[in-house]
Amino acid sequence: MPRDASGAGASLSPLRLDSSCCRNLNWRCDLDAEVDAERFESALAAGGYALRCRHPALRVLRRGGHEVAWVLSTGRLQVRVGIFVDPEAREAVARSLHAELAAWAVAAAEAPPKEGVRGADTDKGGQSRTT
Amino acid sequence: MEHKELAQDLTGPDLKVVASAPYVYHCHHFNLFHDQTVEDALGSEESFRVRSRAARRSAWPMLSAATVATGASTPVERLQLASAIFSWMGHGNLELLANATGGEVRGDHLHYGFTWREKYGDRVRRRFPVDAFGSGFAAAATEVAFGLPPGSLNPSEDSCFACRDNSCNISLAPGDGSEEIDAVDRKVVEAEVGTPGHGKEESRIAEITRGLNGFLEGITGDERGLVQGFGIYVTRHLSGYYDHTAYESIHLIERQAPQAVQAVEELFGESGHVCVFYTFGNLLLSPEWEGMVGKVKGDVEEVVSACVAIARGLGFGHWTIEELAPGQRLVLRSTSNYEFPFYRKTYGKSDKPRCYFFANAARAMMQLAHRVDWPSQPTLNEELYQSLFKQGLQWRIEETSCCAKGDDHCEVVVSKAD
Repeated sequence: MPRDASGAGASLSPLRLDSSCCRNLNWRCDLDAEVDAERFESALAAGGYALRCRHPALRVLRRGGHEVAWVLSTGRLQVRVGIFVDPEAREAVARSLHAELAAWAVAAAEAPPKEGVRGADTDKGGQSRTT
Repeated sequence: MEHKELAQDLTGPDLKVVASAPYVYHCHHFNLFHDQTVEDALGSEESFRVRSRAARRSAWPMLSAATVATGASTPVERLQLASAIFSWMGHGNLELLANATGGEVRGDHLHYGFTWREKYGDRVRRRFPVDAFGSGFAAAATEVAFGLPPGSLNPSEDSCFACRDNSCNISLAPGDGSEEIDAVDRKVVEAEVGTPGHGKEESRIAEITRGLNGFLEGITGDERGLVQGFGIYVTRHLSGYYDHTAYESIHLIERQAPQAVQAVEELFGESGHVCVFYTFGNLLLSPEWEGMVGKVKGDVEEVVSACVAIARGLGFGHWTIEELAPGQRLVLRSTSNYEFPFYRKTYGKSDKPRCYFFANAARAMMQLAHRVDWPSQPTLNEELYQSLFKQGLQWRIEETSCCAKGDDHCEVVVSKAD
């Protein structure tokens, strides 16, 4: 599927505004089921995102004051623009971050499938760790 | 000991302390609303004095305990510790440059100034500085660093980001050192609170609370001294600050303008609506909640029990659901919250209920549970807040018992308004 004007491809839905405590901070998109979770997470790490929280069903990562929160079980992603960004510039920053995520999602979907596809993390017996 | 290790959860009463001082999580919507209520009640100058005094009164004992616990023995170590705690609290960055006779303090991304400009700056021109908490905290930090009694340094904010200045600058001038502080610390709180009760949905609420506590424990401030969790910017704020400012304002109005007391009490109570709507609501819509608990379906029992768990996780106390009849009635109880222990210790027994936040938060929970279409993932904005809480609020509340009056538990009954 060709990319649409929003920058999304087949693997990541277009961006839309999500609820947040301040104007235009949080934006939502959804990962396609075909995206390999492990590869996508690796891409985030290689792209400079550091893990803030690892939970069986959840990842929260941060880079340069922006965050990505990812619900593994549903594929929901929330792109969180740093509050220090001028309100008028937040949408553009969110779209830029989204474009990057979309590229990684496409790559993670196109790669040969690995064992243990996306879904709940089976480690740690249900415990969450925040960093 | 690191400053982060100073924080502890009191899991029975679901309260939180840092260096023995009670603290709670609140977002900027609540913080700005609360401080604005003080300002509306007392005027800009008097309100800044009351708020900065409240900040010193809550921070001084906390910082004194922190210096002992961490072994910070020199002024430089103590000032660095104070700055680190301030940032851990999510209040921004403070550069404490003063000495025993006073001096300058520079603030960067100070919570009140920064978020005031974020929320109102494009619509309103503010003329009076807003960082009373940072100012009082800076005074306390410098006093503790140099071994001075409280009140030795008087703070004023000379420039403020909320007033469209480029930065926040605070001055500390010599004071008379005569401020007496009777700290409401962990020991006091534990003596005042009662045995935690059990209510409806207890095992679900307890499980969610454990998950929230685990998640919140690991959250740290960023390089700007801002704290984000669940996609919400929050402060870990000394609850003594809220209590002192609210009760001082109300008592002052009781003495000087008793005809206005009800209005002021209602405004402090409305802060409970603001908190539940913006903080609880956004938490329920967050990916973290979806991952840890599941997407909110919107059943009344589900939303109310979720809100009770959030209250516990944020350090508001061990709230329990005594009774819940969807569409009709909610009875919430507590033997611990962050309001009555302060009141009892500071003012003695009250002749009327004093848990304004607890009572109004209960009402807001019912409004959220009945009037928000959760599956549609709404945006919780000012427009929705106005339609839920300013136009046809369908619930009335009565605090039928209150530990501030000497009762053995606090109870609020939320019932359908006629």
